[in-house]
Amino acid sequence: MTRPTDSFEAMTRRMDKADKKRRILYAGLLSAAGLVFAVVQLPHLVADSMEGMGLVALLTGAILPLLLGLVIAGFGYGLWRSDLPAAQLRRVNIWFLFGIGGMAVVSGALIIYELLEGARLSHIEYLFLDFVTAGGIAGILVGWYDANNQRHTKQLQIFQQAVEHGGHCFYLTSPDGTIEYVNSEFEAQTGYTQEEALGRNPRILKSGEQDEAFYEEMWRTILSGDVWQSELVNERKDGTRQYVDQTIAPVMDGQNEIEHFVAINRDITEQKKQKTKLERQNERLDEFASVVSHDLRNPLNVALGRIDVVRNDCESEHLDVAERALDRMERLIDDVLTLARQGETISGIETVSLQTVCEDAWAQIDSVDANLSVQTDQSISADRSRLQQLLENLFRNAIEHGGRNVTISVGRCDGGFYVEDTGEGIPADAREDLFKSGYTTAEDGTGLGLAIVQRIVEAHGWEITVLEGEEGGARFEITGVATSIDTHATRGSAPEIR
Amino acid sequence: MTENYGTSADVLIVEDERALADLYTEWLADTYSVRAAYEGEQAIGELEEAVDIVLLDRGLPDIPDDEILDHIRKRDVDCRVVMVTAVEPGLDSIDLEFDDYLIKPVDDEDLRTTVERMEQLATYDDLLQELYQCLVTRSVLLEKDDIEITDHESYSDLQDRIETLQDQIEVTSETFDTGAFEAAFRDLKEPHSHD
Repeated sequence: MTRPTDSFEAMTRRMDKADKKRRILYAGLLSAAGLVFAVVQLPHLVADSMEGMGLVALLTGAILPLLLGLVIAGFGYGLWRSDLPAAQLRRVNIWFLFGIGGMAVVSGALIIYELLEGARLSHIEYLFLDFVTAGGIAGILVGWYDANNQRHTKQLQIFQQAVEHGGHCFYLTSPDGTIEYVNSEFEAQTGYTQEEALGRNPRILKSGEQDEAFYEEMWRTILSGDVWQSELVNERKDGTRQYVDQTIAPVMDGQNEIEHFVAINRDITEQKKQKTKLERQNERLDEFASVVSHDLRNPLNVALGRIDVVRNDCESEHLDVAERALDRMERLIDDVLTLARQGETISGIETVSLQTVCEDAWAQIDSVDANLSVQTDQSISADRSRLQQLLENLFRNAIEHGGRNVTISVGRCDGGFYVEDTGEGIPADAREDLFKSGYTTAEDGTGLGLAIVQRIVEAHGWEITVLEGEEGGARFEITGVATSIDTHATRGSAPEIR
Repeated sequence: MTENYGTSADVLIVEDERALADLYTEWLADTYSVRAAYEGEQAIGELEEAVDIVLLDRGLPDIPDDEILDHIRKRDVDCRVVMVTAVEPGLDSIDLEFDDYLIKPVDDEDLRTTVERMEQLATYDDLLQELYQCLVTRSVLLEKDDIEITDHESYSDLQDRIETLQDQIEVTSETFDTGAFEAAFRDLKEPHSHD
């Protein structure tokens, strides 16, 4: 399978290669022409020397044109070393030819005129060549200027295209805030056409949602030369509201004075709507969970209390079964509340010692015979209480499935940490369903514990994988964890907690 | 935990779930003089008579949570208030002046030890009682572990109040050890120190 980036890279490589060849060709042609001009002057130099011409005549008549030929060759080399693309080198070559051609016509006409006037001209062919060489140099200089201009125009066009089609509303104002340019997205987003917007002030977009202090702060920031970035509510021409993520930056002139302000508005109305909708849904879910848990805890309390009362009169195994069922109901209520409230959110990321959090989590586990062995003292970045909950749930899961005298070990793995037990392990085909809400194979499990684990993992941006442990038990690897210090290697294994 | 000094304390149970109120009554009736109110209005009526400890449910259908508490404080009824509720504490709990907070389901032992603790609390002076209230409030808020709570202004006010009270108590009684005071009651949750 080919990734799209592959073909793109290959394409750019091909283009670069073709461009490189053309650049060598154009620069080479120019250098070659220069060398030809220089070489042709050699017999002229020899002839003039033989005729015993003075140094000045030699200099102007032969040496200078020869040097000019070499200069042209040097230009060729210079162009090859420049960062101009092949198309621009071709432009220089064309101007060079124009220069040669133009000067050939002019000098030819002049020579013919002089001859017709009866002037005696020696070495006419060299005279002609001198003019042509000078024309070539003039052509190269004009071409160089033109090519650079072309390049700037092209760059400007690219910028303009980027600004026009970048998908964000973009406008430029004078230092006093008068709109001087808007892109087409401005009209799409605000409803104001270019004609309507130019010459006016961006306050046409003011919705009244932000107070004066907001705008004062904005002006203070941009007038001091800093970039302003904020979310705000604007009003479109039709009166509807638009949420934007706005960035305003000052554009400075050569004297470091503010020349323009450039504003880029990203429309985030849809995201805002989605977020509000989601928040409302979460609030409703939270409210629902609270009501349900409140209403369930009362009868649960009565039932648990009554079992205790009955226990004072008689002992019966039925009471144990009933109590276990009620305990499970209590855990279900807690888990449902957790899932509804905190699963997806984390707050207050801090550096915590995995060992300490393991100890805290273990203290919450009601287990008589199970063992916990923490074999790392790495510190990780996490929401402490969520991490504790994650560990508690994994420990409970190990005890539920591995029996009450299971041994659980926590240690370091590549990119994070693992929690492994000596239980019977999880069959490969069951691993996929493991994190689904309600999935449980334990008699008294709630089926929500691992769903909560996964939510906590996702909220931290981590990943969880289920594997088979060294002794055939279940091994959960949590990776993508930001680890700060691991002194495990130097201090040896941490003490076992029981 | 503590001795009962001859006279049994008057406990008022305010709980709209009758079965639950009856259960609490059964648990406490052999040690205390217990009355139950199933509605808020009835509870306010009961407060006219002698009450030492109120076990108060939150979310009663006929009356807002803070109204009974306000009534108790305004009428200067000298009693300890224990919230016994399924409602988890949130920011709205900071201003409720309770002396303890139990989350349902509670069992026989929870309830008895809490009531005993309240009896002991009644023997302390006002400053200590207020400190205990503040420590309990902080503890139940921390239990929820929500940064929105711990970052809130009301929470930092509570922290400041705790520090002020601790300073005042140290000044009035040089031998007083707040650590021992806290330990004498139970393990109250304190803010985490950063690792």
